[in-house]
Amino acid sequence: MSAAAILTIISGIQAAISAAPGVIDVFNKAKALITSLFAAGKITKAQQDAIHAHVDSIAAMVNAGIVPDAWTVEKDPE
Amino acid sequence: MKHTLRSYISMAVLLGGIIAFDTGCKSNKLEEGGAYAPGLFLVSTNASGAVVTNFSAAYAPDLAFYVADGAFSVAYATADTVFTFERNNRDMLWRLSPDIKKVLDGIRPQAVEVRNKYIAARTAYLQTPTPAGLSAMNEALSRMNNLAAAASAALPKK
Repeated sequence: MSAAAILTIISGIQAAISAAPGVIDVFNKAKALITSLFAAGKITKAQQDAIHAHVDSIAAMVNAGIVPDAWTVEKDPE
Repeated sequence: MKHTLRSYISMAVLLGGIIAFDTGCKSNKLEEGGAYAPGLFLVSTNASGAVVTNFSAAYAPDLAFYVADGAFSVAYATADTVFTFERNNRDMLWRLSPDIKKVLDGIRPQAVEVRNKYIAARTAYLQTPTPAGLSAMNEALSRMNNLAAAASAALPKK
């Protein structure tokens, strides 16, 4: 799949996306990553540092033994 | 809204999979000074008088690491969005179908395990970068992509 096709798909998804903050955040992450790899020019220091910081924050949770509530199995609704 | 969320997340997971295994990227894509290309950019003049630039061997840009971390960032955020969406709308989704929570509850502990595996492999790679270490990261990444796809598939269609 060409870079242009991928970016076209992303634009279509963006047009139909809901307002849920989590969805927009995931979309922005995916778009930034794909753009950085397929667009001309270097992957900037800022782009690199943003991804590194995000995964570092996940690592900090793991090292602290933290599991987000949404990732735990909770009891069923009554 | 649910259909849009599911469609988007399925595409994000697919794209994450493409990115993670796309090895056709140019090796000089990373700007020096970034987290995946931390330095040293050595400029010298060779015997012919040509200016030569090289990264020192200890700090060579690591595009494969950037790709793995980037794809993991997307896959993790995708799974987190699905889990959070279900939790925040649990009562409504339960009335729609109890199977949604049941399926995600089967995925949740696996996602935690894979998350931990990726971070352990990444920690080891940061200490000693090796091809085997990168493979371990990509193996965990592949599993996370699969789980994120399975989680998104549990969301109801419009």
